[in-house]
Amino acid sequence: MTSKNKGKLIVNIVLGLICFIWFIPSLGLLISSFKSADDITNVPWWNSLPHKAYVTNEVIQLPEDLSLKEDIVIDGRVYQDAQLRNGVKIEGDRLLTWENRNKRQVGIQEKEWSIHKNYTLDNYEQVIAGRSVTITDGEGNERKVQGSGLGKAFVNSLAVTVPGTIIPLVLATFTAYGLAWTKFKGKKIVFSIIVILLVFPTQVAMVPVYRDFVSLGIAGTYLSVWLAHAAFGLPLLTFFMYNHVRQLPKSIFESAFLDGATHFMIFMRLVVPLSIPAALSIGIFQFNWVWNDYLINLIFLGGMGDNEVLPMRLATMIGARGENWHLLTSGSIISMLLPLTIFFLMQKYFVKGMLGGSVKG
Amino acid sequence: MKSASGTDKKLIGLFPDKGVLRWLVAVISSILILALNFFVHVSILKFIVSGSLQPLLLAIVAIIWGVVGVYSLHHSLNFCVSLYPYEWSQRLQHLIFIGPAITLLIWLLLLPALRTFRLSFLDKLGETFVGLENYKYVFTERTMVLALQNTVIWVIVGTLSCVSLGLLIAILADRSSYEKIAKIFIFMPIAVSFVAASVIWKFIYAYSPTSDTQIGLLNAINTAMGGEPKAWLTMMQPWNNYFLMAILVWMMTGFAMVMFSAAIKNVPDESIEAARVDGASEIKIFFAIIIPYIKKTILAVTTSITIFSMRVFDAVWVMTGGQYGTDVIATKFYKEYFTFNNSGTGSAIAMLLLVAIIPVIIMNINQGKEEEY
Amino acid sequence: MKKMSSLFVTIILLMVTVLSGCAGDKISEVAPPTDEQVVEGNGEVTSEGTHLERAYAGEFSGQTVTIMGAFGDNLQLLFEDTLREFNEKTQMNVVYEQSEDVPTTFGIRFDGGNAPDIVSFPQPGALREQVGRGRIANIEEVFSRDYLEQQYGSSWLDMTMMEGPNGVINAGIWQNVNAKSFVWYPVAEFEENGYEIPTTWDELIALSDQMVEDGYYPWTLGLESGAATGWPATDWIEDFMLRVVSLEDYDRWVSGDLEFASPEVKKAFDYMEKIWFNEDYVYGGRVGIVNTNFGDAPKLMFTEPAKALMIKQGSFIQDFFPDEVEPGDYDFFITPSIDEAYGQPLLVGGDTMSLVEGQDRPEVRAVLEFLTTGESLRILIENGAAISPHQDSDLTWYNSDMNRKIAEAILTADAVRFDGSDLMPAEVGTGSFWTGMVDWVAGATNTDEALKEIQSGFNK
Repeated sequence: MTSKNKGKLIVNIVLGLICFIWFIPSLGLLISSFKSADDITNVPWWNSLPHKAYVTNEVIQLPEDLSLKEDIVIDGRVYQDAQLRNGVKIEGDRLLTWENRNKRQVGIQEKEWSIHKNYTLDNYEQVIAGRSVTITDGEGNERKVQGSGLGKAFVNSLAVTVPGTIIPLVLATFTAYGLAWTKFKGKKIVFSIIVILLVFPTQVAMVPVYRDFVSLGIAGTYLSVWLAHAAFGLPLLTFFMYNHVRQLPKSIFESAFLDGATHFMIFMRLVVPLSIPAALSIGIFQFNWVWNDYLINLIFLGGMGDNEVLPMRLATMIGARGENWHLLTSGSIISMLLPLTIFFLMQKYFVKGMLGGSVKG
Repeated sequence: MKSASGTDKKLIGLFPDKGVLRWLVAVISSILILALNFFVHVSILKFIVSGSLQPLLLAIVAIIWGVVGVYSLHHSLNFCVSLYPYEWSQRLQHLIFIGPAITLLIWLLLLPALRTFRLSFLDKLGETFVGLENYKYVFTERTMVLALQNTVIWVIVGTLSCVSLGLLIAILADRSSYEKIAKIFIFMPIAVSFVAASVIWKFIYAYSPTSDTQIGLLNAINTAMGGEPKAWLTMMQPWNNYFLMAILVWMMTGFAMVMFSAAIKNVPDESIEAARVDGASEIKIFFAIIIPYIKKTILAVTTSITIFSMRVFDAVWVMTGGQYGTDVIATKFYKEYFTFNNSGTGSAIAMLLLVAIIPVIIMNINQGKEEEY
Repeated sequence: MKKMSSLFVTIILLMVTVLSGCAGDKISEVAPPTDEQVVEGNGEVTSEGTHLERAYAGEFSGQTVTIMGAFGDNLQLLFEDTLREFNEKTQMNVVYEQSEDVPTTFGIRFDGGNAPDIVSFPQPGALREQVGRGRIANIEEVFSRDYLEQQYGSSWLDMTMMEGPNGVINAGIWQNVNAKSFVWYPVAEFEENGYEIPTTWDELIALSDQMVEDGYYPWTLGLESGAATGWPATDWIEDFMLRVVSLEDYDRWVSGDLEFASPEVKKAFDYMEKIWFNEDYVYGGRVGIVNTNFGDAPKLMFTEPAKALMIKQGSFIQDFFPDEVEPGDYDFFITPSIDEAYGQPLLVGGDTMSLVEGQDRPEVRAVLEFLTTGESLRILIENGAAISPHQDSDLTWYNSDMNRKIAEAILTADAVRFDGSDLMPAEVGTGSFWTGMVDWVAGATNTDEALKEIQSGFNK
């Protein structure tokens, strides 16, 4: 019993370590999202945790006309310019380094406990409410123009993502059953094509597909973007649902057939309920891809303000040359919230009986 | 649903299984039902397209339509099929299931793929036939060859790391006391968009000259231990490729973990308990019981991650743009096809991906063979 | 069995075709009737005045015109505000669509038959590619050359002459422009140390040496730019090319006639090397250059104390200065001349506005005409977000001396030339040129190897 507890303790510690490593990058993002643009690039994010840092507590003024190319004598010791640039350790765990090279000031630094204290909600405010610009006209009158905020883009993203996930998932489940449990010739070919299409760069498909959508008159509508996401996500969803459905125990099908059930009845009554957990687990990935997609949404939905989705909104905010990339920190955190919440809520469905044959050995 | 199927049977019973009358009824009803379906769905589509609804309402309509519509479509098609003589209805059965998805796939992916195949033999503008010129370029040009090599490394190292780490974490989580929380941590990177990932990893790999504060975590650790700051992503060739791979592993391990975790939960407790009673070590249980039990899931996950690695684009694109010897097939494809507007070479690269996947398909089909019933 | 599958597919495809038929009708209904009056003519004057005057008279009320461009954030807000005003006056519906990647989005939209009416390219190279594919209409069929010359300096007009499938056309009009041959510096440090603005190469080197002696790093450089890593270095080469060869040779170089491996081009590399590869000159040295984001580089000039004192960058770099730094805290000078014979030409760039092929409608012409006037940039100028190339915009509109100074520098330059890498074929301009510079600066190749590598892009 004690060895079992010990084992569990080890498991908990190792897993905790892995989780910690996995979380470090995201933690950096989270902390940075509360810092000002300048602090993000100048102050390491882990300075927000208590740490020991060198703090200058004494400044030595050298002669202002001192040449940097020659030996620099401080307290009777000889240093080179290059050494002082990188800092030299001296007795008492202190660091000797240039404070102001131009003014020939050398600082003596000591390690002290410190913590970064400047935080701001500005990044979040700007992302949520939208950037605002105060416009001054020729006569000096001022007026404020508010850029669009995140709210509308969030709603649009939902409108794209939810059907963009559910429609292909339903189709994939049907197809998976058809491939796994009905007999027909050319099954292998169909399966091969699905796997081949898995690796096909969808960007290539965009040109002809967009042309078809335009001639159908559906370009720029939600329908077009649902169809595109459905088709581009179908190979992977089908592949996974097929792997799940074919592993369902043969025995339940056999007894159902004996009772005179048709394929359709078996599908609706047995396969669908048994597949819901599997569908949810692969569905969450499709949800994320659609949620974070930029190019497909931009091309099929168009870049007009009304149809803007989250990744488009964020891209616009960052600016053409990326000058506002600090807004990306808060924007990313906000756009992560929904997928994470869904994952958290759905976890309880990821329990026994979801993937793989539970009876068949 | 029970009554519906009951009606199906009664109707079928009215007619002999073979004969002209049965065929006539079947064909006419099929046409009528197809026409009705067509009319209903086109009307709904037109309504959706007309844009008279708020996006969110529209999405709700779409979901209802997606689920109920697909169900009713399948149900009515199923009814049609059941009207045909038994032999034929059996033949048509599978179409009900795979028809709609296959139609969508053919239209939106397969036809474009065939077009790409054609373009790969044409010149830059897609006008003149150039034979195998584009393929020759793909296999001989220096930077292309480098990209091919890099992709092979990505597929091997990236896939192995994701799958083994995903499996390890799934097993550990299953036995830990805080499974749900742990899984959220590992899953989290999946919710990150690639643009955000570029910022996140900047905080890991950033380089500053020795005299400056390091804002990259790796260099901060490195200098704290007395090392010189290193330019991880740029001048450390070819190791920079592996640092880029870490990004993919970070993002995709969650995928493997979720899939494995689900599969592991299906391993019957009895067999594990029995093995434990027999005194088998945990490692032995893992290899002798768990692995064989979830091998199909392992294959499926390995296949998917192999494909993600072959297609890897953003992780490289946002970090280095393929400079410093980090180009992979997908970044080369994007440069040729979109940046340089060369549909010929771009298509040839795309075709290369399709060919490279064939071994994976064979593995999957062989796996399927074992259990053909 | 196979037959049945194909039958099913046929039926579905048939359904799609019918559906497309229905929708097709709808589209042609929506398409606006063509205005016969304007089918030909130079579009300048009709019986009722110019298109713009007709628009202001309300003739095009209710018509929609779409403009696609890459600029976002505050530029987008200000431009949309301009359009709002225009729409109010004309009752038209002019909309701006933003896309991060205009060439790709525009290409797909055009091929799909759903192109915007006017497209704005941030780089002339991308525009040239589209012109080559016949996707852009000749602007001189909309406006007479005389009218255009009245609105723009002729060197600007020359820069949009591009080779299309049916000969050379004028591919667009200039909107927001910028210049790249500027060296930016913090004023306080310059004044404190009594530094003088250099106008020749020797003065620049003398100044740099003086700075080193004073304990500063003269230069801060950054090469990293995500997927576009490498471009800041190409700007340096172009600027130096303008200073070591004649304008004619520069043009020959851009078009690929003057090879990279030639002694003229190598000379530009040699001059660049004297600054870039001098570890005393550049903060962080070569490793630092390679690993610094171009947008982070200028921040080193505003630390306390300043770590470096000069950066050579386009006027847009001001967006990357720290928030608390104001114009006046910093200033700029034009990259000094190297060979007196060639002076100090300016490397320029900017957004063009092009008429998309097949979208030549009267209401689109009205919007284009509006865009040829300084008025269309006025709100942006007044808020410090644009530099206007229009002859009829007023220097008093600029809200800061800095922008006025930039505008003046552009208007009075010895000569102006485009960013050469933008005009080279994409295989070079965004391919081998970037990679070649990156490998060269990182030390993976020597100058001769780098030149050879870059040149190889032309031979693809």
